[in-house]
Amino acid sequence: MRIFVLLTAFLMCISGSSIFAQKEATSKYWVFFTDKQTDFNPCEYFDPLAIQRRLKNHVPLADSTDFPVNSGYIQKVGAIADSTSVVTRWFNAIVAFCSEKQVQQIRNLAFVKSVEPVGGMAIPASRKPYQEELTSTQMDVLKRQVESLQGDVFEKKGITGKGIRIAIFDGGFPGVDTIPVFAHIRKTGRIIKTYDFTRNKEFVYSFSSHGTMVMSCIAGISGDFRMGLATGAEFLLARTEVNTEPFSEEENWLAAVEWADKNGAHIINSSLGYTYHRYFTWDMDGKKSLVTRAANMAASKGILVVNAAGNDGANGWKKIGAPADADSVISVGGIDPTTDFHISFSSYGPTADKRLKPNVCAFGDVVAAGKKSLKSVQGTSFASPLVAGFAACAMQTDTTRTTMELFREIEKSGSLYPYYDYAHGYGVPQASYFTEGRPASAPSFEFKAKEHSIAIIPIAEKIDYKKYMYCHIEDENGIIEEYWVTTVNKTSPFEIDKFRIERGQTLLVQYNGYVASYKLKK
Amino acid sequence: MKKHLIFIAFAVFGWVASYGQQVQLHERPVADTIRPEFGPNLKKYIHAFIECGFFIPVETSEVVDSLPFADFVAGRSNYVLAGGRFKLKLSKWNAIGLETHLAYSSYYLKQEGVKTLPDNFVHNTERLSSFTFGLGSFHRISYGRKGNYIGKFIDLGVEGDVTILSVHYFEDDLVNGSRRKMWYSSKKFHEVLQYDVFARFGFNRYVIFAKYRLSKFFREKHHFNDLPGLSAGFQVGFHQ
Repeated sequence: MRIFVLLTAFLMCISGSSIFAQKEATSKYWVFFTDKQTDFNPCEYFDPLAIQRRLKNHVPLADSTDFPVNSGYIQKVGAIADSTSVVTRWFNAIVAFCSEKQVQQIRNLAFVKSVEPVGGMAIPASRKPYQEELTSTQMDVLKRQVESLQGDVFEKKGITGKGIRIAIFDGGFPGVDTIPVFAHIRKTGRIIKTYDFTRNKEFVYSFSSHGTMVMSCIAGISGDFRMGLATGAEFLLARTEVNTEPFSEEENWLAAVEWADKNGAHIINSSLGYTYHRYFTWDMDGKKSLVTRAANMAASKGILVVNAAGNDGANGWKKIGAPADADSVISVGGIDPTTDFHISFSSYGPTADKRLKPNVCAFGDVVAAGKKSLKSVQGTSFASPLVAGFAACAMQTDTTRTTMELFREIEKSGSLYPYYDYAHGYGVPQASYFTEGRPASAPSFEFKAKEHSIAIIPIAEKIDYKKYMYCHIEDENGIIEEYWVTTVNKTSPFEIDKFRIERGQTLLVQYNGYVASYKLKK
Repeated sequence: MKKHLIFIAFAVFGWVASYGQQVQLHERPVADTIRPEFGPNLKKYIHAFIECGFFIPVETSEVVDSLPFADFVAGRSNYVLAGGRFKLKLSKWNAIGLETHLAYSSYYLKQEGVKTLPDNFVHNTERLSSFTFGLGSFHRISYGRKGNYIGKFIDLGVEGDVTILSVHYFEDDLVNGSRRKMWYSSKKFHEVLQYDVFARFGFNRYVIFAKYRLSKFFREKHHFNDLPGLSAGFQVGFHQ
């Protein structure tokens, strides 16, 4: 028994080392301050593109969130803590490594507002690459991942995202400095800055090739084929994630977003999502996580944030993660190139407070450039950069639009718009919307009320077997109660039982470009 | 031939007919508004697990030299079990639970030196094996920030096992060069009901533990020196 007690004590020590590591030795804490330094010249601090972006979006050149953190405060906290790392202007805080005792000392400082533990992990929303050779099927996917966004429309007009600066946050960018897929970017010096926030170094061309694959879906060119739409854009590359199948930490994301803001980013592509490791699904309300609030703040400063919806659609979590829940973030779901609708793993909306997410979708199974070769890869991680590249081109079509105006226009350009659901958002953005406007579409179906059901009857001459019919029932606030995607193979109607639709609710249907609604009157 | 053609025609017709308005995706997000109670870090959770433990030879002062005695082979003497666990969350950091399992354990008895248990015959191999069915309960203290994720925890608990089948197995080399394998029920040696206390440290699905058997392994009436009751091992939970 005595030995059991000793062994138990040993186990406790092992576990205790983790517990007490949080409390006693090397835990990380956010230290939030009460006030800031006010001597700040935005013209010295910001890149000229950042200044332009702010002017365009009618936001002040600087507000209190941009003011630097008081250096005296940093020094004083640094003197107490074991060490400090990230400093965030936006949240007026620093990350300090300290013991519980040191935390108490820091809390007692008059200028400290609060001290909160840092924790949590993120999983990049992607799956492992699984093939190395480009087969005819892969070649087909490579063409279609751009065609699905009507990339040729932008290309014919010479729109390549020129002059638009895109920041990519990921786990590493090996090969971006060497492989031919990015030669056109390197030749013209369009990798503006790089920074590894996990090691505080500029070198990012190593570690996980996830970032390389993501970047290729924004701007890669393989032979005669474009892999993404923004082949003329400029880039800021930030390594924010630690491992190859990374667990990442929110403070790196936060530091990177401020860095991107400083260096004039117009668009941020982020392909990670914080889910069950740290949160519950009801926390996905656009307010809970720091990274979500940071994404919203980036949007408030005129940066368009594009984030993967996540790959939890087929598991217990099912819903989007943070920061895809932020209301000002374009959350991108995935579609399956073989079926052209929702790919099984793509996370579903809505947010916990019932806002529409994802906003749009793109291919979630793509051909991307790995470190050594082109590969087929799956994940909303790769749908997100396709849309980020699209957004850069859309931004180039009218540089006077504010970022939130562009956000709404990208939603409107969706292939299903004004229809939406929580698997596809408004559908796949279409380039022609930005160059020619939305084409008028003739009715492709009609409603017929029956005694116990409402029949949606396709019009024979408008039937396109490749298209799906999308239907949803929404309440008076536009919140979807139920939705379907169905094939249309003959003129027999798709019927929805009347008992499913309550008075005042609307049945909205999209088929072959035509959208119509049917409402049961109160 | 005609029969075949009719069959093919029906099959093709059936295949085409099956392609009506087929629902490819159907979701009822309104149903998601009910906050779930079942999940790794929610009110209730059930999951399966497997466990592998090793008996640890320790010298105790309880050994009585005059009574039959045997040492067991460390490493080979082990047990495996598969079970299911129900966890009820009481507060953010506290939970209680019940678990049940089926286990197979073996004590391999050393054949060198003094060996008088269960008899003084020296064999090539000798083991006492048993299948047991067990029930346990535990108190869990969780720590660390986490969402719907089991994460880090410490469990303290008790469990009891009922022996379903027990076997005394041994192998001998015979003079004619052949090998004899014998086994017979050893239930008469065992206490049918055994119970122990345990402590576990877990990081999500991976767990290490130590157990101590409080009950006697051998029945009192045999007056055997008991086998040491300490064991330790690892467990893998089947959950996200």
